[in-house]
Amino acid sequence: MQTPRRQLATTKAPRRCNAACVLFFACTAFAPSTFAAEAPNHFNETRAQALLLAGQAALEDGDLTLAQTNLDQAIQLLKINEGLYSTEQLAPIEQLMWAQMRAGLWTQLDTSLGYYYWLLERIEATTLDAQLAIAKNMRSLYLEAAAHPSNPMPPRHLSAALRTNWQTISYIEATLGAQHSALIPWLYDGLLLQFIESRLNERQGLTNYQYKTDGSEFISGWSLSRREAKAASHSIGLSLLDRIETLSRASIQAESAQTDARTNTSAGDDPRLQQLDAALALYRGDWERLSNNENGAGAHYAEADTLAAFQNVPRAPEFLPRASFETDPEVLASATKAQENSVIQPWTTRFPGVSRRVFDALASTGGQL
Amino acid sequence: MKERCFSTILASLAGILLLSACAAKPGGYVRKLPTDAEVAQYNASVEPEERIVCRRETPVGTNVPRRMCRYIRDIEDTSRFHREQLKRVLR
Repeated sequence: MQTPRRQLATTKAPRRCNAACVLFFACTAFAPSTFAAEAPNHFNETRAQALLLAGQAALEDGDLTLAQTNLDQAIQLLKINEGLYSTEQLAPIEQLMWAQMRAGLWTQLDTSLGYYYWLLERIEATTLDAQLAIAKNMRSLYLEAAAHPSNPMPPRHLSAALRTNWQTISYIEATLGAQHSALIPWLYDGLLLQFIESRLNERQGLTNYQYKTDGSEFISGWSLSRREAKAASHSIGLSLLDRIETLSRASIQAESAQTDARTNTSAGDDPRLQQLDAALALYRGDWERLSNNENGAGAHYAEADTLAAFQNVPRAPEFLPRASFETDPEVLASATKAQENSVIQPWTTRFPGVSRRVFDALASTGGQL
Repeated sequence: MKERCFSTILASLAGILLLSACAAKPGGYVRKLPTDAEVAQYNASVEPEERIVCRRETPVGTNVPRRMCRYIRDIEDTSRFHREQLKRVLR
């Protein structure tokens, strides 16, 4: 015998089934008209990528406002889709910072920089190559910011470029060791940056800003005289060349030792060591010439000329400093001659005596592992 | 004779200078001040107040300049102290 409750259930069941069937058929019937215009999914993953690409294209075309709008939206979408600490945000933030810098929006750039560094501190799963690429991009950004005509504090950004380079050197030392040959291009880039700084020091009242500026504020610190700053810059350049020599020599000797073990010859006979000595004498001569020390330059150049092949490498001051560190005299000669053929384009009026090719060398993709 | 005497004095002076430059600390190690490149690399990785400035100074009581390295914060503190002392004296 059924209870009244069960009776009620059995009588209501067919009605419930009917209602469900009606709803199903109604949905099927109205589907084309109701859902034809599918609601746009603002949080679609592909949309963020599309915005990033559109932002990059606008940045390349020089449409800085459009680039900022697209990149800003891409960042917001990636924050929602991928998470607050997602690595995917790095690319649009980098592009956004370039757009803000080129538009001369210094306050907005500082905000983006703050967020970018905050994010970098929280992202751990990146490779050394990725870190070096980030450092290189930031260094180029700071350098271009230093050259921007509307920048109210160019030395601050130049100091930031120098600091980034030194920090990268420290990072490579900590990761791969202080004797790793991966340091060489960064050490040479340090020399190029030192040269740019020395040209800024030529201007009255702009000496030694690395002690006076940090972030967006001036700190009082202690300023060296122009003569002292020039001497320090010269000394840093020589120290960098000394370190390049130590690392290159160790690298060649390590390679030779492996070969010698097979061929039974001596590492001291390696012609690459003689080439290295001559090349370093050449670079030291260049550095002295750039510091207006012609006597010192002459002595180093004479040392380089002991290897006949180096006598053909041009040394005109307008083509110095050389874009990269090379030890092969043929490569050195051809690289300098290529520069001779091109027009010497000044980089910016803020840095008299710095040609565009020095900036291009620093912004190039070299220096990776 | 005079020349010989002069060269002896010169050599002695050079020796004294070299010795004073490499003065060993009581611990037994030779104090080596950082180079400009080392200072620049260090300064790049620390806060502004922790940075170091190295320069050649001529201490009171001698005419021989020496390389001295100081923390920015020490320089700031010393400058502040001297400014306050001066203010007190001039008041």
